[in-house]
Amino acid sequence: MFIGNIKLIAPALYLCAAALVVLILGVIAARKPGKGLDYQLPTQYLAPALMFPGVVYALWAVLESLIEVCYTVDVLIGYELVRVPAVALFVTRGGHAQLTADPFGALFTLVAFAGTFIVMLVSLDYFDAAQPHKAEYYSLVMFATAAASLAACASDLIAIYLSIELLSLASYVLACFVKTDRRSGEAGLKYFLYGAACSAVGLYGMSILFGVTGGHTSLSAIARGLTTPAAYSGAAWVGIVFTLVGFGFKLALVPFQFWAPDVYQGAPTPITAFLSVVSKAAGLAVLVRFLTAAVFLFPPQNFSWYWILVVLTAGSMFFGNLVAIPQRNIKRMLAYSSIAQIGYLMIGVVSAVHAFPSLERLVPRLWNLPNVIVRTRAASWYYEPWDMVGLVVYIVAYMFMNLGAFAVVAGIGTRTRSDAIDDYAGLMQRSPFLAAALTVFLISLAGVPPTAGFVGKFLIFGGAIQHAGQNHPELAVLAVLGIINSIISAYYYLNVVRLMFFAPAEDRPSLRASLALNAVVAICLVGTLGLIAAAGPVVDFASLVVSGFLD
Amino acid sequence: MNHSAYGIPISWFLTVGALLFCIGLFGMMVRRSAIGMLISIELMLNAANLNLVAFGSYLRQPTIAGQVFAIFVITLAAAEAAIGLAIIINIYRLELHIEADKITSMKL
Repeated sequence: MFIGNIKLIAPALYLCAAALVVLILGVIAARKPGKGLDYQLPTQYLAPALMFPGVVYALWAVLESLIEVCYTVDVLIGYELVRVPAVALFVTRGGHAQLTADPFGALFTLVAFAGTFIVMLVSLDYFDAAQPHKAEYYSLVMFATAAASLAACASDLIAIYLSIELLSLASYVLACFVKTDRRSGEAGLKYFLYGAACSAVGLYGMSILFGVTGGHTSLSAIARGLTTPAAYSGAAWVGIVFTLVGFGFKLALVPFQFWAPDVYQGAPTPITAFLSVVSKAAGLAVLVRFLTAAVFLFPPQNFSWYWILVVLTAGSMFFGNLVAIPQRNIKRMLAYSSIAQIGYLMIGVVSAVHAFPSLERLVPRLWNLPNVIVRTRAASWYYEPWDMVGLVVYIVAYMFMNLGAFAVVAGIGTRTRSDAIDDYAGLMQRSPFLAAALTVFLISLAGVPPTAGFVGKFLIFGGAIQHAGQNHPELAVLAVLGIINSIISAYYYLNVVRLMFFAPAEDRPSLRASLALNAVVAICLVGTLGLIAAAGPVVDFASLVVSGFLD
Repeated sequence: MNHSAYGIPISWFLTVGALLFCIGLFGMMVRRSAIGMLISIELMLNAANLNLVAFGSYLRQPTIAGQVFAIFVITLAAAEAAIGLAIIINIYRLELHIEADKITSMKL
């Protein structure tokens, strides 16, 4: 086995080590309460302090992988000399990599790390000093983030399954972290039962794919295995669809969304934010890698699961937006809104699967790189498709605006002891900064122009329409449905804004935000409003990142 | 797909796996006790394990990858059961029962 360039996944390794440090120090502190390490290194400050170098490290890893992705290395594996990309890690016989730390994976790692840093700052404000088991909480968050980072790079069924499960297991515990709260307990139970069942279905699908492709677990080998006529059977179809069930659960895509409202409402608000951004980013990266590896050798029309995905995308948008309208609890409303947001992101995914050329056009390249297929963008000679660029930009925008919204909701929830939308009436008088910030985040989620959400949606819908011109009319329909849904979503987002600004305020004391809360809201505001100012460089960088996408 | 030395065709293993999976899925839908649902999940995981090991040894080029995958899954299933039981104990302390469909503190 060829280990490869381990420094490309070093952010995840660093985070695991940091999580262990936090856990051990927490255990030591718990044994001697009130003195010693507990006072000198409180976990809630230590964890973000250890997280911040991780974010910087992840940013460095993106730049490093942008350089490394241009190179290949010749290595001796077993008795054969194999040429592998320099970003492939843990390469086994045949040249199949377990992890591919390409710029795409590195960027999703960065999103997960930055998102977790923001979640930690929100937690600092959300949990009071008397909350027990802080060390376990922060170390679990860090382990989950490391798992999300590995999932973004996983290019092998075993690696995908293990990293997604590590992320899930940590999330189950975090969802029911407040042990005395009935809602938190219920959230944990429901998340666990449905999550474990869906991942078991996904695993069964993986076992079928393993069989029909001739005993391969690597995505590149599965792509090759699916080219044989035997694999055109219904078994491969069942395998792919079952595997998609497992990924669909992580994304809360529509038939697998039933857990999301209860879990989002019951879990502690910082964990809700974590689940809605970091966990979904990991699921999305895995889904894109799996689809582009499994799909691109077929014309997608031959495999009806492509059409299932198209229908689920439209269904997610409509279900999320329509059910969000009558909600009275803001966390539940944001849960349905995030189901709709995943629908918008899925438009980017289903148009991204068209971006890659068929195997025949790749054959000359295959001579150079026998087993890992470098997918040059299909149409890059005359124009640059926006699909994957839109996906990358939108996930960054989504991180800022959704985490910002949840940060405000968490801050207000701890101070007023309520998550009811009615209690947001007259928030403008009580806390002008939080009300104005929440307004920005909500109009960004709706996709109104001067915000990050607009840039992301513009690129995703534009990418879909670009592909629609190449004989894929269903993508134009999806883009139009996406625009209609943005208008529907504006109704319930702006309803909250209307309550905050124009509803009569009861005579209640003003809210005082802590430094951590103000800082995190300011970070998210800068991201949400700054992305459009830097739209040109951001899009250039994003297209640089996706041009180095390996399977 | 050739026969093994024992003469049992692979379809037997796959059928048992599929049956286990269907029993697990059925149990997941009809069981109301959280423990029962946990057992159903374990059945589904073991169905996948059986598939992996059978494919691994019956394919034209037998591979160790199936057994390796199965060992990872077994390890993970143990961790999952531990976490699941902890969550169920927690819910029992809060609600004094573990009927999953009766735990509905959050509705519109």
